[in-house]
Amino acid sequence: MSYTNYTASDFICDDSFLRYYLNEDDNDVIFWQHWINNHPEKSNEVKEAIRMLEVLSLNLPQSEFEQELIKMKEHVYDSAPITEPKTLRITPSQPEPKRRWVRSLWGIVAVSMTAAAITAVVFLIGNGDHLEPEHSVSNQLITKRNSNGQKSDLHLSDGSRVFLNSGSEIQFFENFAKNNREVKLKGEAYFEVAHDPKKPFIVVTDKLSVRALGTSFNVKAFGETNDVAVSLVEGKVEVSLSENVNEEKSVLTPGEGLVFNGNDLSIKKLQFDPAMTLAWKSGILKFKDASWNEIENTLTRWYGVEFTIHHAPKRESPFTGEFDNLSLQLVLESLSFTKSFDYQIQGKKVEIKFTNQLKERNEQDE
Amino acid sequence: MLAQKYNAEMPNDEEALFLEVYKNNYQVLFRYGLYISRDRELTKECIQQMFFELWRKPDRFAGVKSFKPYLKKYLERKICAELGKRKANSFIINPGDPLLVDQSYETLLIKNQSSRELTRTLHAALECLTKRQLELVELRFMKGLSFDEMGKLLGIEHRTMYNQLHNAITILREKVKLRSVFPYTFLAYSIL
Repeated sequence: MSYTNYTASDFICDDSFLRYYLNEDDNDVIFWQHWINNHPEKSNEVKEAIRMLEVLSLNLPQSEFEQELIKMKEHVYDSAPITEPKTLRITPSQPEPKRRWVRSLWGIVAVSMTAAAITAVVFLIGNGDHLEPEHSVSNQLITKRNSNGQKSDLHLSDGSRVFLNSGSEIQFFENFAKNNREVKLKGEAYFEVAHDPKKPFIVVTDKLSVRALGTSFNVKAFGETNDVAVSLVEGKVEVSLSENVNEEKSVLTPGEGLVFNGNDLSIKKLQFDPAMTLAWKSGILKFKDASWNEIENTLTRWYGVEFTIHHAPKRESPFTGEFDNLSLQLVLESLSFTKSFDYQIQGKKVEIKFTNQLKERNEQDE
Repeated sequence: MLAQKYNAEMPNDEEALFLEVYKNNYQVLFRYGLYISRDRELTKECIQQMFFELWRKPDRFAGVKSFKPYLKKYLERKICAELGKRKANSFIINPGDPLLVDQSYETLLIKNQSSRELTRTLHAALECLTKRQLELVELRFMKGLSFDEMGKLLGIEHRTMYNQLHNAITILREKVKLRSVFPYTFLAYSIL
């Protein structure tokens, strides 16, 4: 039987296709990538086969794999690579004794270059921020940034723990635990603050600062909307406007949240839904009455992809739903049904064509 | 492919290339490790440790022609060592030893699903399969065996196995209706 007559089940039962999906054989991978590209008419059967294989194959779920990858990245970029320098590899027949020495020298150069690069980046970002070093000489500003599609779990020197969401960044000084424990946040993070009544833990965002002693809370301050949301899980926090720290303070008790509206500068207190606010920590994507705009922004950060949208509908109904550790494809598949669009994922680019519009237009034509 | 690249091309960006090897082999290693150890967390841990170790070695991939067999062997040794340590009495442990297999494929599979809905439907679906079908599904999708390899292992004819597996897949596909399987609506629109 030719592949063009294959159903999803046939693909699943094909040896070569299986090796392609499981990435067990490079030749099969190349063959099938090529074949699938050349047979768009079979893409539904192929997609269905892959979905089923995703269920059956016992791969580590994508979100968990990403966590592992982050750890590996940190390890690889933090520890100096032990590698033979370029010049030596090209001429491998150099005399042995010298080579060892040269290699270690190269090692030192490589290490110091890496250190210089990191410092440079830190100061570029750090420039113009609120944080002032207290003892500027030995006190380095540390920046942890997650690009889109990445999440991380940080342990600070004072024992506090920070879950940093994707597309978010946190900065603090190396010895921040000596005085007031102050960190600067862009984006979203969940803090579990180690208890220390003498040294308040302060989270500074562009608009607000949150002051805590020993608590757990979530702060969301992405640049794309002007809003900042603070949600308190336990303990007690004090929230004030970043610009005039001494004025107007709001105190939150557990279960309470606060939303600062950057447009009209109003502050609104409300009860928050912990399941909703903290879902991101466990890899669950949750939407409540979300607009397409909000969905798009969230997916962009979450999966580190870029969207191109065609025929965005003028009227839209808000979307509520949750995706528990699903791949982008499954999320889009599911959304595509409720929101009626057709999608295509190519590497880090996602193209969305809303079919609503198309239908409306066709109706008009008739 | 990557192995040749690693040894032939000058790795200007050693870190990126190393991470590429990691990404490209992770799932293969995870499935293999899970098959041997039947322990998710242990497998994850051993994979991380093994790559940490490799990163420390300057000649880490010297002479390696193909990564997958090399890394699998490496992981297997690591897992066996770890399991050996855990079972303080030092009898020899063979991979796949029934003594170690206290978690069946079904249990592992259900545990590994990220959505609760899928967990439920999958559980029900697996119960509809015969023992032989389950065995085939496990060897096929967890171990990634070809029909030839399965045939050698089980002593069943190619065609019989194919039919049994095909039936199993049909049953599973019917029961595990992935919520969003409506590709034909798109087709209709794009034809319009």
